[in-house]
Amino acid sequence: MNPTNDPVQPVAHGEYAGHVEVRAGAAELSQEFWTSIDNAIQQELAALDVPIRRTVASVRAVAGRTSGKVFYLCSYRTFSKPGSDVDPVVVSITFAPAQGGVSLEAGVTGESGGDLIRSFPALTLPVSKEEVVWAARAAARELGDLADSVAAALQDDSRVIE
Amino acid sequence: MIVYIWGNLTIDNFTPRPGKDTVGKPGQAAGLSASDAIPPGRKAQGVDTEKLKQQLIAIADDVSHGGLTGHFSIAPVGDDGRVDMLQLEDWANARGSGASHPLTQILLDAVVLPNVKGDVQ
Repeated sequence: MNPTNDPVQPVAHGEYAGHVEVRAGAAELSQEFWTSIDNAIQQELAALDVPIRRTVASVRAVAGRTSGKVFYLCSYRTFSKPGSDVDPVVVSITFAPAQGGVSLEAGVTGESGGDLIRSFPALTLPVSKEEVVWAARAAARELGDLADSVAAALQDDSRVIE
Repeated sequence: MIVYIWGNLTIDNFTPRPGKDTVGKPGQAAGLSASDAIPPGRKAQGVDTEKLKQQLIAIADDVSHGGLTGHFSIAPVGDDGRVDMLQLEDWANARGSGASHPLTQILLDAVVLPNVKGDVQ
């Protein structure tokens, strides 16, 4: 999985028809399973803290996770500068039901502004615990190498949020 | 109707900012900001307003009174249809705590288009 800097193309609603509500079709993937995935991702993302702190000494890192009706898990780590109005930077991996499997989408973006700092092509994985675990770890490792991008974004005063 | 919350699927991004989102402006109700469009080069979360619950609604700006075209404020309202400021402030006070307020989860459950990018009308 390689990062892309391609211009963002408009997306039609129909392309998201694959996002269906979380239901029994993927019952194999339990809440406990997603908790284990979140833990594995957070272990990798925590490795960003030290290199980012070398550049942004005051950086605050907070781990988090969410889920919803159309996505299984968004596992993320938010980096911010306390006392600054610069938009925090979110390093995240989202898993959602997709046609024929589970989609995985990883990226580095502004928390509230949504600016795409680094984005990766979405992957569709088979509904297999082994495949999802492997892909989650691989994506998290790649994100764990993006400390420079996160630090640069945190120091970019043009990213101030109103 | 689909409205877009710009940014990520994080707890804080789905929780109003105390002192900012809890204050209305001319033509704009207090509440969490959403829009009917996504700027190019940005990521947003598409929320189906029909799936909002517990009196959480998306209130369109009143452009004739200074509001912005295409801007919405997502907020809990009382029986009188006005923003329930006590509930909104309670919601906002959860921001930064790391815990997900019940209204945050209702909003996350109303997401139907996660991680949408680019211009969507």
